[in-house]
Amino acid sequence: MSIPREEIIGGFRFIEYRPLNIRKPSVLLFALPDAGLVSVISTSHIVSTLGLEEVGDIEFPELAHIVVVREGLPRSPLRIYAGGNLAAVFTDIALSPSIQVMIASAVIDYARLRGMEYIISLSGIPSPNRLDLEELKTYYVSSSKRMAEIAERSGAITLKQGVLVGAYATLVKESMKKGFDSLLLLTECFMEFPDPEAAARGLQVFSRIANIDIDIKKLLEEAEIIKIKTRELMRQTTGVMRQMRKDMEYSPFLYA
Amino acid sequence: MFESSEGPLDEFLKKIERRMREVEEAVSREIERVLRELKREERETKIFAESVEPLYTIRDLGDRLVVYVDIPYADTGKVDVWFEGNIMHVKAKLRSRLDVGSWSERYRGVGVEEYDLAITLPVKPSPERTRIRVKGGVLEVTIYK
Repeated sequence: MSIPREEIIGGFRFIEYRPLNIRKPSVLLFALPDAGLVSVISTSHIVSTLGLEEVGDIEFPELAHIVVVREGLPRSPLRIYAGGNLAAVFTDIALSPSIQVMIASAVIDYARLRGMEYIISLSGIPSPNRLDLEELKTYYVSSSKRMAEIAERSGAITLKQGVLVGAYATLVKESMKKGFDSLLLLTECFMEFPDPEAAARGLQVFSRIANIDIDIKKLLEEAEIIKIKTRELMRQTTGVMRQMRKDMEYSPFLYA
Repeated sequence: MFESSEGPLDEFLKKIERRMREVEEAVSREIERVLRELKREERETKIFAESVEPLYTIRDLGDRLVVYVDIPYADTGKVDVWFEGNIMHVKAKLRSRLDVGSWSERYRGVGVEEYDLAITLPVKPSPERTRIRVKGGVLEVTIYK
């Protein structure tokens, strides 16, 4: 297997087995297991329906003992996909809080070095009465005014106040410090149960932002089976979310 | 020559030694039991079988506990909830047998047929002060304290 490009950023080795060849305006999606597995389900749907190809791996010493096997080949659990004007950094294993913070920061530098225009994460925000919500809302947090305007035009609502915990919190905060455009879409979801419906709602907003047609019919049809398939990943992710006190996101307001 | 005879102090020390050994053994047995329990739980949650444990979460809302159990693809007419002391049992049949072998070859021949759950609650529920509903593949059990 030839290696056209390899670089170490923040302790992570980004390896591209094939050239990225991303069209402009280029968008990097960043997804790891979080509330309701919204980001993993939605990004996985984008990868499969838009036919993004697996183009690389991200290696990290603390994850060296985990290998994902694809067609008999050992690959890293942190993978890079690309196609059209999209690239995606994706993992479907529950990462420890410290690795989450480190990878979020490294991904910003990777996107900047690879000339990406912006990073988008399609995640979820836990809603205490999710069971009774018929219309799910998608909120946004952005690292710049430009991204905020893009999000508002696409139907996302400003998250006026609240607490964010995890990799995506690091993503937007570090992006702002580094002067890079990042957008976090947060759709109301169950925290401890996989939520494909929330993923579908987030995809509708993303579809308008990226101006890409994404069919969510299949995702909704297969929602129940997706929930069963991702049950164990959700269980592991809930364990990590407890460690990082993700329940603070339920807080409706700040005190000062 | 002195005769070796055990006085009351020796006997007392031996008693303490015996007691210490008993405590030590009891602690070791308890540690082994907890480790066995943890291993058992690990095996139960990792494997798909005819009966699987659903995801659940418990919220304490002051005057009541609300237990949410995720039971996607369950037949809503075949969801049973019952209590034994402070243990809540849930059994829910799936609408049809799910062939796990179609997702992964290593699971060929394995099919999921039902959800099975037993949760130890912090309170002893009374049936007349319990409300149950199923919505969107989620079972909600409200237990008034």
